[in-house]
Amino acid sequence: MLFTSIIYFLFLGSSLIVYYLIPVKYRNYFLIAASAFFYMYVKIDYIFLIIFIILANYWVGIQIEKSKTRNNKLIYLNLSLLINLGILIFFKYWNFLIENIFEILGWFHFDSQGPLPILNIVLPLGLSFYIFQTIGYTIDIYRGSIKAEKNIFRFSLFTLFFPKLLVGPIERANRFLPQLQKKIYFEKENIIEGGKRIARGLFKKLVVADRISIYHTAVITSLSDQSGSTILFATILYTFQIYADFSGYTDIALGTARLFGFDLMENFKQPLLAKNVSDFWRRWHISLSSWVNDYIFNPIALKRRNWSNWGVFYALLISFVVIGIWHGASWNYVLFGILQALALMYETLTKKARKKISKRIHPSIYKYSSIFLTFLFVTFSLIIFQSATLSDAWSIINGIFSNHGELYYNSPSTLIFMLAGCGMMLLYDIQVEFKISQFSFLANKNWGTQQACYALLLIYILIAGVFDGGQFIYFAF
Amino acid sequence: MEQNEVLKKLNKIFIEVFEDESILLNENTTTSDIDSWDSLNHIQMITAVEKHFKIRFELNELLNFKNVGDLCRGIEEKKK
Repeated sequence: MLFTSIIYFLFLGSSLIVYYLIPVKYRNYFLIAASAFFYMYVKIDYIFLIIFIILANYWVGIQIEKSKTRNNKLIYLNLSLLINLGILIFFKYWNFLIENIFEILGWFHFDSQGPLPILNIVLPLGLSFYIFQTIGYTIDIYRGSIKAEKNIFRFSLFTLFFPKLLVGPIERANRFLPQLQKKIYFEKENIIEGGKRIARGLFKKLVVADRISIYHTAVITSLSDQSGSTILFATILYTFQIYADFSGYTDIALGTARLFGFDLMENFKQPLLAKNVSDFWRRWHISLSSWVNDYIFNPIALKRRNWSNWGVFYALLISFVVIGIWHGASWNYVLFGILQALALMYETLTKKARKKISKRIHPSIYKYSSIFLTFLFVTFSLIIFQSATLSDAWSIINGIFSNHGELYYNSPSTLIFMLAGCGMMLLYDIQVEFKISQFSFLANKNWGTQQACYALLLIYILIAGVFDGGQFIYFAF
Repeated sequence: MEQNEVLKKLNKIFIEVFEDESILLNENTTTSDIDSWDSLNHIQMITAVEKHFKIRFELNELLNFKNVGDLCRGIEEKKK
């Protein structure tokens, strides 16, 4: 059930009416049922998998808490990691592992007899998101920073809550479980703010991402016929596309949760205005990057703090390879992660030098050139991200520099709609980032102006939106 | 060592590591209150604190520090 489909809004509207009509004490139970229906609507088979994950982590969480000794706690934590990572590896990485193992064996002339044990399985939607959430939950109990949830229904909703089930945000137990204990009453504010957030998300997805997607796909699938300027333009647009796609989805997720009175964590903070790569990772897919920071980077870097910078580099490399491969079982994602780690190592080493330079240059020039350079790096790394193979990535890079010619666009309106969409999205971020009230349309203090802007936004979505567009990019992860 | 004294020394270390003269710590200060306190120089700060107070934290202790107050209490425990 796509967040942009009519069926989703029918489901959302009817669930919302029932939710606020039934007595408060039954509302969480209703949300569990609605979320299970939502998941089964996508594919009925995997409901059993998610029920197993819920029961296993619910039980292990309580066992970790009940264990008296550190050693016993660790045994249960490892059991939870084994279950969660085992399921994730089986569904997401099995074929990748098998193919690579046999590839390496082939180098030593251990050729396999017969076909490889490749499985014909489909990755259950949302698995990478909710597995990371349950892993975070059991580690938090092990560290003693949260209590195990004793109420099975609350724990089920923590895992299943449909707005965040398929593409996150990857919630944290200490943020979300307490919300499930509260009694939620109807508040007009939640409906208004949730609705506005959904409208902004629809704009990003239907007007910006899906419109660019048509152009980007046309260019990337016919690289040899395209000019360098066209390929460069499509590559830059892709950065806007993936941001609009994922943050648009997140807006709809957060807006939906808000309609039901819940507050999910922010996943983006104006990432295209980041001043360096480490700043970018504090603003981009925050629920994943902060997860990796808390459960992978910090433990490794702190454990290896005697190695000085080498400890940090080692932790960075592992963390970003995990972030890369989290997106999918493919070498381009690993390379994407390594590139990010290298950039952060460079930034660690040049911190003092960069500070010196910044003192010699006018602050605004330094700031805007930093934003520009970071954008260029991110765009470059996304070339690797979007290419299935290294040679595909090379074709894009090579194409940018070798094919001379004019910029391709099938009609001026294509160009205008794409650029206007990117511009509006960027303007909104600039206004939030630099707190410029003159540009404030959607957050205008004047009630009438703000409503008029939202009305215009909806009309614009209807005019410029792509309604037969496809999946969200992050559905594949 | 008194908590105030620890906090004062910590403040000095924070100013040095984060290169920010304006830092003024209290028990409730967290990473979100100091712009330059990111996960990269968090490691440097911990190393500097351990060196200054001549102590060594366990990994579990370090992972459970939620704010400067927790860090202060951690240092006092070690100095007992």
